[in-house]
Amino acid sequence: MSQKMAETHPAKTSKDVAPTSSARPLVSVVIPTYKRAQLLRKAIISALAQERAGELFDMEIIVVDDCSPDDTAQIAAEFPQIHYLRLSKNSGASGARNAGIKCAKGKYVALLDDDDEFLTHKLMVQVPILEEHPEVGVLYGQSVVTGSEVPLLLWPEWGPSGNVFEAFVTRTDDFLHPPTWLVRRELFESAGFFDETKAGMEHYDMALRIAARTPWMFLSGGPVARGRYSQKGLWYSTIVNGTNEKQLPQIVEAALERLPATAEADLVRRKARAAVCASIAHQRWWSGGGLNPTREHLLTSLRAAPWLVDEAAAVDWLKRVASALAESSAHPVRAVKTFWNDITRATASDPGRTPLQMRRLLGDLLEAAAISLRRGSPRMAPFVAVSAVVNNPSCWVQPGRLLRFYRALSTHPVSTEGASTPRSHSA
Amino acid sequence: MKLSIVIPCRNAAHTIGETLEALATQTWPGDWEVIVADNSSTDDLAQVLERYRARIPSLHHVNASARRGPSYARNMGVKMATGEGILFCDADDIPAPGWAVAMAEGLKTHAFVACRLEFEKLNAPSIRVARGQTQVSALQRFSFLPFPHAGSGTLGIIRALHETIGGFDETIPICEDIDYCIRVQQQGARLALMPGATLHCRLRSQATGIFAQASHYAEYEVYLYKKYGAASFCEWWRWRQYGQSWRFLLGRMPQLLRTPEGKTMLAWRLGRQMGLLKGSLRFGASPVTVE
Repeated sequence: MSQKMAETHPAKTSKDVAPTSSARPLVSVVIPTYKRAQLLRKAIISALAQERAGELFDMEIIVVDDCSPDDTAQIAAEFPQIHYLRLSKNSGASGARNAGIKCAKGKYVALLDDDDEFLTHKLMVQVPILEEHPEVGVLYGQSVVTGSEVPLLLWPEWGPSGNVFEAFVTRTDDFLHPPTWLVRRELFESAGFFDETKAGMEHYDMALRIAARTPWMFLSGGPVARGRYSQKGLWYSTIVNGTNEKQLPQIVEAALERLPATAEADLVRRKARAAVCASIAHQRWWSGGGLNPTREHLLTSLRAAPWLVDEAAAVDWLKRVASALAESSAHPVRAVKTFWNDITRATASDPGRTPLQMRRLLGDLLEAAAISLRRGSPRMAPFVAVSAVVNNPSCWVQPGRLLRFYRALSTHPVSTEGASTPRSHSA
Repeated sequence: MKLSIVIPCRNAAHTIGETLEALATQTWPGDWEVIVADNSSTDDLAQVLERYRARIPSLHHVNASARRGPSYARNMGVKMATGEGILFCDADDIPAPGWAVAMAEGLKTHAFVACRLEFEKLNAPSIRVARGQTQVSALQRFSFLPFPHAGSGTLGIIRALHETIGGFDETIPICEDIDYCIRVQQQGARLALMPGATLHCRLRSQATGIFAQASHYAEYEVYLYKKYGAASFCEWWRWRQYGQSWRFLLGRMPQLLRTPEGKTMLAWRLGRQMGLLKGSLRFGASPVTVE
């Protein structure tokens, strides 16, 4: 079966000749763990079950026990073939990971978390690709995410390849799952190790630093790891307690300093900051906060950076909030107008916008509200639609726009609200 | 690679002859066998098989009657099979020429493959129009599932992979194929459609049969939504959509009753609506409309 599984992957290799022992690359699997003895056993078993280990590549497994008070040591002792490293004091996930990477001897490092699992073909598929492409520093790919609170997901759907720094820094939704990575070990020395002061988004920070130096390659076409999502997990807690909100802008700003002072780089900066604003809105929206915290966040961001009102990522969220306000109000048009007034006041400090442009924004917000009301309360939708047209100066001069709006209104919108779920993250 | 064709059947003696006829006239890339997994048939299946024994030398009649249902029969068939590659086929469908070669070719490069379906040969036009035709040019897909799927009678799989996931789920009577596809693909294998392999598919033609089948399917689609979609009973927008689809259907009823195609479509649609409701109440999820 192993051969078949390799070949199902689009990025398959045609190499079927096993390298001789001296040519076999060594892969270090680093598993930091803290108080999850039972899940750790599954993780170790999944690493040991790698197909064609010893044939295509050699493997060392390093379990770094972050000073767990439970029976992690006994679990590790069940597997004599692994290296077990116990830290003398608790130093967090990043600290444990770094300790593991520092004592790794492999050409490649595969990161595994104690609550995740590798699929059995992960290294068999990935190692030959890195062997064939010396220019690529990191391979990353998709995971299957399971959990009782989220639907089964293949995550992420897509990722960029090549020189990905700009793509990464402008994409702040969490799409990087370290267990899918295979990294050349020397990159940790040149780019620096995981930042031990950060919790939650440290892998994004690490990815940005590595991406500034070397190309990445995304493997689509099927999962290579399995993640668990739980609202009791670490990732979700960093969203709820606001750590994530504080860290994300810091990480992105630090990365943006690498960009030169050119006009193109300024565009990337704008896009990245707008993405941060949208991501935080997204997190507030889904982590139980809902409408009001999201609205507050958007208005605060606009006060600090009025130009966000021209950025598509931020405007999408303004539209979403406007739609939600309209849906929850008995006077949808009035609700949207109040929100628009808030936006106008928030951006008043910036002279860059004409009143006409702001009117256009009002029209767009009403348009979005009308389309979403079509599903919720169809009787109100036509009123909002008419006021969207009346309020939008660009509707008067662009008949094509009117036609498009009419089409969007008349075709029954596919509901996205219920179908889309909080972005999955293995916790 | 040796191929094993697994055909689950219960009281299908009147159609399995055509299936075996088609298998006997296929060109084969190598060693192969046919395993008929008999799920407590009471008809003259044995006599029909006897007729083909000369033309299909490796035709095995396996008793798979311990549990009722096609999932058990398929799992039992695979257990008895000796091939490395497994092709599933249903007792009322007919593989088109070239099916076996294309599927075997597919299994050389993929661990999990499906053939395409063709409806014109075995079904009256009125039934085809009414039912809609799936898996003709692409795999089937539900919006709430991250992976595509295919019907159980169209699948081919490497035996080891089938064993890794423990085969078909014997506890569900229908939609076990979708569940199977999802579990296999969670292992990292990808379902690949083999456009060169075609299966002539037979649809039910009686209104009562269509109604029952539609209701059964819809009921277990809700089950899958519950299992993989992390669904709850209180997704009001889905209930609203469900209500709207009733209104739409009832509004079109007089028009549908005028033609035979319309009546078939009505049977299918009504069956789905009933099944969705039943599934929602039974499994505690909202009625998911996939059409």
